[in-house]
Amino acid sequence: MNAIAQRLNDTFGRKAQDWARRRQGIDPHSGCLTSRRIYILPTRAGVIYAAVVFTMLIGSMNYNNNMGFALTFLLVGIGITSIYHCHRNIADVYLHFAGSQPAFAGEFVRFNFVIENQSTFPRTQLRFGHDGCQEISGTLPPGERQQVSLRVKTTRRGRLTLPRLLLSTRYPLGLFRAWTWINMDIDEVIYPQPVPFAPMSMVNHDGTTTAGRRSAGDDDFSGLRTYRVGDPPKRIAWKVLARTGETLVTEYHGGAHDLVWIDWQDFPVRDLEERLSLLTRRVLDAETSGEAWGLRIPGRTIAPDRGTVHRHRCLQALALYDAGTERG
Amino acid sequence: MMLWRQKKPVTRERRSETPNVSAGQLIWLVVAILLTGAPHLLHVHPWVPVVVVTLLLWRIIAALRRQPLPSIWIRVPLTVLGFLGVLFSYRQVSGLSAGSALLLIMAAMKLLETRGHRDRAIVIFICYFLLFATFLREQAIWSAAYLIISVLITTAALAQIARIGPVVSAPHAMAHATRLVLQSLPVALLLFLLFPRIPGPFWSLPSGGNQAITGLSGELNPGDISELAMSDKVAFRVRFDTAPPRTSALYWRGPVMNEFDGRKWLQRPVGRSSAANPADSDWPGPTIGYEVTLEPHGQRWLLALETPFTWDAHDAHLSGAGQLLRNMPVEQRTSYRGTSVLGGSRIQDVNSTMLDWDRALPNPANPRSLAFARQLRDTAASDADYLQELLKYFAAEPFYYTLRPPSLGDDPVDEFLFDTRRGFCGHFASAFTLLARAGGIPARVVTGYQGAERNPLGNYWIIRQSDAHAWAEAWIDGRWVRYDPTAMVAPDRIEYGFDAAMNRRDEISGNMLADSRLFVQIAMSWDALNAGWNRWVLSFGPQTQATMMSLVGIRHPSVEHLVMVMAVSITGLLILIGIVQRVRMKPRLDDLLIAYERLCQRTGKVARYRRPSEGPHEYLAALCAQRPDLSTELCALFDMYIRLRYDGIEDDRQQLRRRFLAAVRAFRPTALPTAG
Repeated sequence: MNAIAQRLNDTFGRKAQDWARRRQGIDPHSGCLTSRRIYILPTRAGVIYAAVVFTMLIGSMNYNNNMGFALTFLLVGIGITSIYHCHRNIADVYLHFAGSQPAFAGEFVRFNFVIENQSTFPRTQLRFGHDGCQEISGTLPPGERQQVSLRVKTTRRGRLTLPRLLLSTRYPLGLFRAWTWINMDIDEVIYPQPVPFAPMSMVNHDGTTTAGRRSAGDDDFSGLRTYRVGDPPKRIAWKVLARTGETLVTEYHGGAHDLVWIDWQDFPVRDLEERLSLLTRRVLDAETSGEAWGLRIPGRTIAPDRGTVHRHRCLQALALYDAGTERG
Repeated sequence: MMLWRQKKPVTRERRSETPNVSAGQLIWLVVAILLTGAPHLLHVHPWVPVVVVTLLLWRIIAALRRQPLPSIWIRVPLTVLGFLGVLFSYRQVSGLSAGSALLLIMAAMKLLETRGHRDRAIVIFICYFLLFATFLREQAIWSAAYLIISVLITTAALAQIARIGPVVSAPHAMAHATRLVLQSLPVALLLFLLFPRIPGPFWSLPSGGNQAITGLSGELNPGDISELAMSDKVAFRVRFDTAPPRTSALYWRGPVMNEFDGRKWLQRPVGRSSAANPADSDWPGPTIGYEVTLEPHGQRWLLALETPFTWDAHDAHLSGAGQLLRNMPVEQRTSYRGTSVLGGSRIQDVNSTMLDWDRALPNPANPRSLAFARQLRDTAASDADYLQELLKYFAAEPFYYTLRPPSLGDDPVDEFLFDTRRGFCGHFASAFTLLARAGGIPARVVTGYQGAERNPLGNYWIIRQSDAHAWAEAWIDGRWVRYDPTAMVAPDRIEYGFDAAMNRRDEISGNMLADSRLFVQIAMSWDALNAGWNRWVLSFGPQTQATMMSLVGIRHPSVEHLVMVMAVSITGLLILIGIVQRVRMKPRLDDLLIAYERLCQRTGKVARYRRPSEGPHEYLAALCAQRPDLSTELCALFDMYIRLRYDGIEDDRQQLRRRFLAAVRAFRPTALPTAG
């Protein structure tokens, strides 16, 4: 029984989704979910409710029982009223995309959204999510907004497209379910999964060794420069900051031999994914060490630098190396 | 090919989203079961409440101790056991008592396996059925209050179990349910008034309503009626169109007995008869119109004033004995209108066979009576004189009217007439009819009610079971004439009612309060309230609907008419609610902002959507960079918006605003053909 229902649901559900997608197109990252795109159908409990009410109607007609009629028609009225409440609970909700953070393959990537209620009445029990993950709001009072973070499980590196989203509600009686599909054109980079330990360099190149080297000479103070995102806090010139209010960072003399190159050639592993995982690990380690590093992979060289932007650029290069797009 | 075989991880996740029933939800479910089950507890076998309460306690304790619920290997045998228990206790599972017992057990069993939302909802649905079954048993006025309270609580429970996460507080839940139910009332009321009521049951009522219905029976064993006389229950209520006749003239015709087996009188089917037309015959009295609201008595006959000639009760006909009969027993309170004349009935198509039946005597029994009758008939000049002589005999001899007549032997009429001389209306009518027959006159016993009690508050008349009566009819000069020998013995019974005749109302009700004015007033008010309830709510049916429809100009509405009117009015109502809701829920944005958002939507479709963080300047710059071809138009539009929104211009503001709104309406940018 359930298998048949599931299969029917799959077939017709997919057709309905495709139809809705053609009808609605791609949604903006921020907008109002108008009632034109809200669909509503009875739940299974709602179908049983209808059967119960129908049975009572037949019973009332048979026995000409006016109290039975009263009960039956009151239940019909409640069912119909609940359609209005269900639809009203979800129509004209505002949904804004509020950014996402890259993640490593195998982790969950989070997409942040803001659900906003601009109406004069509260919204209750909204379910927001996609297949496999649903977040349920409590009550969203009039004029309030609520941040919802959707997790999407990642499996492999590359670019992950946000799956089709679903905002639905069964409020108030669980007899009807109103929903809307949301197709936003959003994707996020999924970094390769790093290997769990720091690998030793497998090949030593001239001068630009990577392993076992002492970190940049702490003694050779070279001067102050302005703060950049990603500079370790211990290098901030706190005294200067306290005196002048300017955030400066002490810089030590490094020189050419201090530059770290994370090189594709250092990790001659046959398997591409394993190789990228090793490189990722190296990038992460280099980042925590606070040194400047550069990345060389076939077709792309990223000059040595520091900071989260640099880190993201490197990891993204690794993530998208010869990769397609994963549909979440 | 193999796509559909793929096991979806989705389903499992969806399942877990509706976790097991929470403690708060459990309380609501238990309250709903107890509330809707309570009226049945007195009517089912005593083991059923015990089992139900045990199961509920089990469920509650399991929840408190966080114990797992019983597995399917325990639940299925328990369910089968409960089913068999009902089967053995009631020998059936379809009757009302058996059905409600089964529903109670099902509700409690279902509570033991409430896993998903649907399981929980089914418990509430069973509660709805329990509520429905209550109304098959009882439709008194208090049941309306019970209906409202139960629907409120079950609806609140339905809302609570549909929630994910904690339940809301009880007052909040009840307030919400009240709002929901109030909003449902218009639709419910329209359906109640307009849903076509089809007369007559499709199948019979469930048997097993184990209380016996008091009322007249289909046969008369002299003395039977004395049991009825002890009952204060209302038999029916009557409303007269004009001034009512005197109480002593109110003979309400019920079953007519035309066959005597020596001990008791029986009804012999006498076929149908067409109603007499009062216009073309000499009727002894004026016609009287009235409306009867008959309490259910489980028999086919309807009560009518002495000689009915019109009636609007569906599927009823007039029998050859002048009795109104329906095809189906009266199982529900029924209302009908009738017109009657007082005095003996004149049935036009009387045939001689029927009259022969009405002369038939049981051969061996009551020899002394037969001899007495022959002797008296020989001295009388005519049939009418003979019957008058008989009445005089009853008046002259020391007969006593009593509720406790001595029991009679093999020749009951002989013993009554000549030995005991103590009896009730049944004895008198029976003896009189036998004597009439013995004198060669067709005669029969008519049972029914005599008299009525007026309720001044509702301006209607109450006929109680204690007004049950029996009298005789004899065929004199081509028409049936009423003879009431009881009136000879106890004239007060006919003139002032049964209580006056017995002069001991307190004995009947067993309460001295019955005589106090206040008590009478309260009792009458209560009866008036009930009568109104019966008349306006419970008797609402095809006839009332027809009357209602004729008020709006549709005479003799068919089912199609009603369906049309119902569909149109309910659709109209629903559309109206929809419009009101749309208007009320519309966020109060100014039209400027709406127009700006529409503009951004349209530009978004052909270029890119505005980011939430972007102001109009920034977005315009981005748009112009992407679509230089549109830049002039866009600059003009955005400039107008910026001026309207941010410049404090006053003079030509309204004009500019109109211009902007019109320009946005007219702005239909086309997408660039996508390259490649």
